[in-house]
Amino acid sequence: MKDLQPIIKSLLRAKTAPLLLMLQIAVTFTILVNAVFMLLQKSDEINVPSGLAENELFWFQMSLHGTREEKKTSLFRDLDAIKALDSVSGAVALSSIPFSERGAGHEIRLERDAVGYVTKAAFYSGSYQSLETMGLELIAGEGFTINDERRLYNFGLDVPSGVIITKVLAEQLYPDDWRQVIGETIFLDEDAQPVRGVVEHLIGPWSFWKNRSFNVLFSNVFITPEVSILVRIQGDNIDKSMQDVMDVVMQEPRRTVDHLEVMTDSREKAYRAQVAAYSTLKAVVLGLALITMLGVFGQTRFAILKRRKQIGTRRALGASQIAIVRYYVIENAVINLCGIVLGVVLAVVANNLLVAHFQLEPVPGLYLVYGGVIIFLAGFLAVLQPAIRAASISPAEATRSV
Amino acid sequence: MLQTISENAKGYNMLKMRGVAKSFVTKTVETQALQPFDLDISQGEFVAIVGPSGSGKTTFLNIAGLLEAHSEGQYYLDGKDITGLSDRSKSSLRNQKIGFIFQSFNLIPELNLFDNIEMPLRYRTFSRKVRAQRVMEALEKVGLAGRKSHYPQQLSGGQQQRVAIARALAGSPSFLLADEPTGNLDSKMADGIMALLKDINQQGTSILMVTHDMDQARQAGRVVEIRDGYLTEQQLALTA
Amino acid sequence: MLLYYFKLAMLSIRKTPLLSFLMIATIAIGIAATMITYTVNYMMTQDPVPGKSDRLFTVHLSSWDPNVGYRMKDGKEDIPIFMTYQDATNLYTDQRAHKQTIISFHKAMVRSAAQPRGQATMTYLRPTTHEFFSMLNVPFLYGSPWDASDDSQGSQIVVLSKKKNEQLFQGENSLGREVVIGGLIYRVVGVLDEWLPLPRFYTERSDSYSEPRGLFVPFQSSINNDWLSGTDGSVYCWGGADLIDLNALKASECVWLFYWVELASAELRDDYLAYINRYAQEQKALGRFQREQMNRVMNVAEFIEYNEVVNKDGRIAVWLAMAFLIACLLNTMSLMMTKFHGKGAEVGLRRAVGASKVDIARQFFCETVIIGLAGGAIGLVLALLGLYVTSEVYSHLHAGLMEMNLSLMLLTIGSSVLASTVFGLYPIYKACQIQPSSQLKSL
Repeated sequence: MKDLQPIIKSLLRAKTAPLLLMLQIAVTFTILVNAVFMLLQKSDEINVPSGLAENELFWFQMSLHGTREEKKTSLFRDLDAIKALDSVSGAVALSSIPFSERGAGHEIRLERDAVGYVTKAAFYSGSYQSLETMGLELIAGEGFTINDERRLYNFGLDVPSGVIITKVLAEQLYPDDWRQVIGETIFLDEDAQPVRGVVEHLIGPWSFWKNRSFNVLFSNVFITPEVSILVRIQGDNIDKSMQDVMDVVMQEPRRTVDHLEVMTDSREKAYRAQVAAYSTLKAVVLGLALITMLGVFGQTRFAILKRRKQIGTRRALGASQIAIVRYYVIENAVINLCGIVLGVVLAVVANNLLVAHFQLEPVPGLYLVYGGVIIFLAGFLAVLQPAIRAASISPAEATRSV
Repeated sequence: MLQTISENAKGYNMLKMRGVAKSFVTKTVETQALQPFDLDISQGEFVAIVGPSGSGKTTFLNIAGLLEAHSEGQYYLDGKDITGLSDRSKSSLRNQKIGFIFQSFNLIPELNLFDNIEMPLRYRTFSRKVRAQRVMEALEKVGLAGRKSHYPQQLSGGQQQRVAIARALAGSPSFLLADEPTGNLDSKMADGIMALLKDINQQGTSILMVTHDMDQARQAGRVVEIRDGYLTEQQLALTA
Repeated sequence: MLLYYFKLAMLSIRKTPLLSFLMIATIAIGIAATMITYTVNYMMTQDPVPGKSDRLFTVHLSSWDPNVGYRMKDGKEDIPIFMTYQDATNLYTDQRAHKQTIISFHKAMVRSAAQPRGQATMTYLRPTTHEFFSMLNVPFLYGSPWDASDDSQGSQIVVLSKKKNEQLFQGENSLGREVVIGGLIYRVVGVLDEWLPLPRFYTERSDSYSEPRGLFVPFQSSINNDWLSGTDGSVYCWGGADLIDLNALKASECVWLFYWVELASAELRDDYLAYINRYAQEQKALGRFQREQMNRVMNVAEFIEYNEVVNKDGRIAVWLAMAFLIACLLNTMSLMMTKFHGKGAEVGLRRAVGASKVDIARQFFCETVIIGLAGGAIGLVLALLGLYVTSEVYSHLHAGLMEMNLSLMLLTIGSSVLASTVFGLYPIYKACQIQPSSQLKSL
């Protein structure tokens, strides 16, 4: 490290050029850290487990006609007919469908009169076989049986027949031991419901919602003029299953069907925005690393051009090629480190602003380290070529007049 | 101590320096680059500045050419005191009164001869026609008419210096400042350049020329020696 | 003189092609990134009804459950953005604003009368009232809006969007032709011209950047036909409401209708709110509206802000891109330092032959302008390319968001020139400070 002192002295004398590079690195670092963090968050969002047997599910909305009794009868007649199909393993009516961007939700409290709420959660109400049909994994308590199923023209939450919730919601309610939630009463807005079971995962209807993993299941078929039906197929020909099911439901002449979709498409559609943002952020991170490298590369290259004579003199005075390379690599490392230190400060400030203005989550400290390493390596790679070129300058440069 | 170099009046007194001196001040030391001196140069004179390296020749030339400010004394150029003039006025004086000729020609490689010579005229308010006319006249004077579209690197060293002289002449300056104009040339080319300079001097333009070559100095007619920052007039007869 | 400087600048750029390329490319990339994000954001935040947005208000009432609030927003209790059927029709009957409209939703199988039954498609409709069109400056290609009497009778008439008219009637003047909506015959009275308010502020957030619905029918006709669909709009209920048919919904306290008014001037806002509050008091006397009264009117900008229509990611992206641009410009700046430093000999020479510092500054300024122009031009191409890619990647948003208008294009070039000249100032200053004598020495 005997080079360090002269390097710092010459940097202090040159001032502007290294300062610019340092600033550039600092700004880049700031963006990079925040962008990488958002990138990983987006990636978590996109890859959030749905808990569903996605590949075996499709869904649609269909109209019901006639008086309320006729509507109810026709719904259950059709559901039974669908379930009887060979290509179908299960079918349920559900108040909302995962990834459909439409649904209902409640504020969840542990006390009826609590000020504020613990969290908000989406609400799935439907046939008692919902868990089996969706493919959810029950990890505590009990599921619904045919005796639990009610068939109403409203949500029917006033009767405390019990709900099943997701594990993350249970953890939110009972952070110490989520299993405590079994048998406890929770409040969906003002309605009290005992928790009878917990499922490992279930995605909510709104993919973009921050509470998308907080969900509540209820066993009531809520009959409205238009109902959503979720079907799990038997076998692997989803197109045939869909055709079979349509043949059944279209026997009702007034029937209209909307949104006939396989679940994998719904998921893809739901995450389009996130996937798009994800690709954009990736481009940003890549672009930043490139620009930094370009900056370091250009800077070093031209710094060397300016100092040909000096380098020649050093060589003439006995500096080895390794020593020259070392000199520029260390010089670059010093600038890089200063830039990164400045960048850490900027990144923290910028992140605080982002948190304050956009309600983003704060960047964990570890990302500062990640960002630092990326920038440092990019800088190192970029300096190598010009430094090696510098080392190849002939000692004769020293005596050549410019 | 103040040295006086007697005036060798031949005509109008166009460069007059009184007690001019130059010192450089750094944090720790003050270096006296030029000791205080008086100097008068008249119109039509050809003065050679001689002296060893590092004696202060270039500093003197820079001061005379308004490229550097002197630190003491008065400098009158064409009767005008230039002490304390703004950058703009000094630039305009350089442009109109002084023509520079450098050892390494200092032509701009990406410009052709015409554009190189035209450069000083660009900083004046001449019409395009006048500029073209003056450039062509200057090119003719140095014997390179018809090469106006060539680029410097297509010419020999001697020809390049001729272009540089043409550039210096294009603005019809009161005097030329030449810093070792033949330093980069072989002797044959150097003789040609000297002949050209003498010719220009014959037509009335004063010339102030730094040189190492005592032969050239003798051709100048008047020699000033600078040694360790002191200016002294050399008597040609004694060294002849 | 200017021409001379531009000529010199061009020569200088050509002389150091790698350096110049790096400078121009860096600026171009930075500018392109900024303009792509800015364009999307700009298009998202445009005024959807220019000249009127401060006079259009949506009305929100505190009609919710006395026991539990509607919802919490930013730590405070919030009221619904929708209205009950009773309140919307009460206010509409009062006609207290200059203009007012009820906005509902429905979906049905739709075809032209000439098409066979099998060609009907599931279509989203917009039941509303006649002043909707004039309030939102909706342009008509053929015909005109229906009138107040059609609203009160619930006439079975329809206004088609230009696109829908192309689908159903191949773009012909279809006035008087018939459309079958959910089995019922509707007569065409109007066809809209191209109309794309961005954002589509008068409805729910999730619909803000999609195309307007293609069929508009009198709200009263949807009531007469008992139309109810819960899946293409939102219905929020309390008190165990029963949603099996329209009559149940009409009688309930469920909220589902948007209510917008146009006032003669923005100053009348307080008067109108006072009227709304009086209405709320009357309802309270009748036993409704038992919660604390937080009734409010919001103009277009306020509602867009409240509804968080503008994507947060979009704004973050603009900031990121601007920071990115600064990183790029710092890079360009150090390249300029290098470039002008390398021109020390030329500066010295020019100074010697009489160029003043100002002359030198002008010369290099022209060079930074040209670099900025070139960066801007390439940046514009990159931005247009980027926007094209973006519109492919963000296919769920309306492509109109990813299009630059002329002023944005000019802004691209302008900001590039501005950026390069501002960041060129210091390098130029340094270049002017070059001592000519230090550059001309031959010894």
